[in-house]
Amino acid sequence: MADPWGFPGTLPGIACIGPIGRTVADTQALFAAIAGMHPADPLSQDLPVADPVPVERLRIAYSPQLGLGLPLDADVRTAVAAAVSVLRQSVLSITDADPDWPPSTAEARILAIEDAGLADLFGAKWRATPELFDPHVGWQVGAGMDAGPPPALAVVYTAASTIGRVLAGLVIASVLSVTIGVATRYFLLFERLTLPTITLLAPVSPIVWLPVAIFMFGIGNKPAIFMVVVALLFHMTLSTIAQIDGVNRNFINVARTMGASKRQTYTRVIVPAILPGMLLVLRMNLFAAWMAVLIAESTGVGYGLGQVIMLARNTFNPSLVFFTIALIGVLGFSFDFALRMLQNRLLYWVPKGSEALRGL
Amino acid sequence: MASSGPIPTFGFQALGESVHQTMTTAPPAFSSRSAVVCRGVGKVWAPGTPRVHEALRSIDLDIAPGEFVVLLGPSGCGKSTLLYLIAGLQDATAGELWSFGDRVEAPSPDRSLIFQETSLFPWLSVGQNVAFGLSIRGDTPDARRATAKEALARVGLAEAIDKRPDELSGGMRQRVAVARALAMRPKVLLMDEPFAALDVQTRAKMQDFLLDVWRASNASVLFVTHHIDEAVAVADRVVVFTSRPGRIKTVVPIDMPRPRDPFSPAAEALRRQLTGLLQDEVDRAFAEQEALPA
Ligand SMILES: Nc1ncnc2c1ncn2[C@@H]1O[C@H](COP(=O)(O)OP(=O)(O)OP(=O)(O)O)[C@@H](O)[C@H]1O
Ligand SMILES: [Mg+2]
Repeated sequence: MADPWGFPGTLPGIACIGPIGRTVADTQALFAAIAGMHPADPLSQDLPVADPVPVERLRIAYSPQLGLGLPLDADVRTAVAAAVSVLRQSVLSITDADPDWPPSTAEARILAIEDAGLADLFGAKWRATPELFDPHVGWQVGAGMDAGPPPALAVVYTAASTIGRVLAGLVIASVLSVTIGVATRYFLLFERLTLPTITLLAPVSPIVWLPVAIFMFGIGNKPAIFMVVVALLFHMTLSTIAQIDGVNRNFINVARTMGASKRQTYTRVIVPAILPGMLLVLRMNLFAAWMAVLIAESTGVGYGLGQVIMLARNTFNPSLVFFTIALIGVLGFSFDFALRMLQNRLLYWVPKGSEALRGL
Repeated sequence: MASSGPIPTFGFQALGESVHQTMTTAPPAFSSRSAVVCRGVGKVWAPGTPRVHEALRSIDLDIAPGEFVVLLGPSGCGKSTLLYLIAGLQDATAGELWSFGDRVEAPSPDRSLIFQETSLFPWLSVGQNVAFGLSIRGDTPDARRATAKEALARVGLAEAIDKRPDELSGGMRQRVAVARALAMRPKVLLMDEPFAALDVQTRAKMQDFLLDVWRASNASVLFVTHHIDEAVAVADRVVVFTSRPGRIKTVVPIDMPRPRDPFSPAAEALRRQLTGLLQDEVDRAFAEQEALPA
């Protein structure tokens, strides 16, 4: 089995998992090509290859299951069994082994993606004319079509995973930025220590944080959420500070004449006074959050709508591209709508801007 | 002017008032009985910058406990500035301020300032606004609500306790601001044109109610206004300011029983006198502004 991760830029549906070669000679040639250095190839490196071990000293195990619980054609099974029994006659010592493969067995997971990719590409054709397909490929296409939830549910799962990341990122970024912003104005030392860095990082595009996200969190939910947080944090912190500086002087003066301490002035006056502005900033930055999460997902940091876009690109599937674009648009709109509703509920004192303008 | 040297004295010596500059920090005997004492108070905004602006110069003013003093003066003469200094929200750049024998160094709940612009917290209900200072002080919620209700009743808005500030009219909001100040039972009530935005009829009603509140509370009131009618209606003493820098031009005591008839000959004479005093200053201010190099 060739490991698709061994090649850069694996493309689902194009790269395939399968036998390396049919004869030992083929395999030997391939091995030489893979392991050997070629001066004309800029990617190839002159790495030492382990000295060949005499075959008598090799410990060889054979799993009739092939380990992965994959269905095998009877002819393949017979052929392999015959080959193994021939080898048993030779100098080689072969033991039977049937290990418990851990659920994380990488190839098994990638196979499912492979199948899905094939199903996406050839599903309709396979259903119409299965006889045109090699039975193995046909089986993979079929497995891809049967695998996973039904299409509508798959859309919901995918969208939900992306929405979850956006939400988590928004909440973390909001809490962090309000905390940092308030602390900046509250403690002069904190301002001296952090504000230059924040101001320095604010203009940096969130995309450049992608490698950092992968270094720190690998793949999965965490790096995608990190990307959302990083896309929002610096701008929102700077806006928080601007909002604090813009709080009506009279509000602060009232608090002071009423005997409020510095802490009370912050918690009772400044924080509520900046909330409406912060929610507006949040709404403005919602789009940045969506962009960041899609970038993270499309670069393989996780499944989700961004990955679907990338899959659609790699499989030349325009209808999937446009469907996903529409879905992202609708979701972004709904998010903004939800935030507006939240603003109306939570910040009941903020006048509804459009009401006064409607009469014009 | 942009040097970092001592704050310019703006000719105190020339005016022969340097005596106030040499005052020691020990409280003078008189101050413990006065609600507010200003001695040679001056305020220079943005000293040492090109935007330096002398707002007040050598203000001497005593306000007795329970006295109702009105500040009258042309726009920009420093009336609000003086209130900020007495409230302790700003530091004087010259002279000293005292309140009941203590130096004014920081804001205190004893001296409530009602601002020129509406300053109710929009995120709190009317009742919570009135109770704000009480909750800062640590009163229990029940005690807060009771006090807030009482203060609101005194300004005739007991029914509005659960409303939001933006549901009220401008006049009602200023009454809530008065209630918020009263709830703290201040000894000095500093009011910066609280009724400036109201129409004449409403303002007249507000004056009546303010006088009731003042009598019931025993607080001293320092009330800023542009309106001569208002000054004549409410004041024990009217302090007329000069245009910039603000100085005390004249103090006019009003010895008429309340409620006062605004059409009585005495009120008429007072109005004429105050109008004349103020008109001089407004004329002077305009002449000065026109003389400014373009
Ligand atoms: N925070 C400030 N910084 C700098 N200058 C100020 C500040 N506040 C007021 N001034 C200036 O001080 C002068 C007096 O202002 P102040 O607000 O006390 O006037 P006022 O008598 O209350 O006027 P009005 O009747 O229009 O309210 C004005 O010329 C104003 O420009
Ligand atoms: Mg003013």
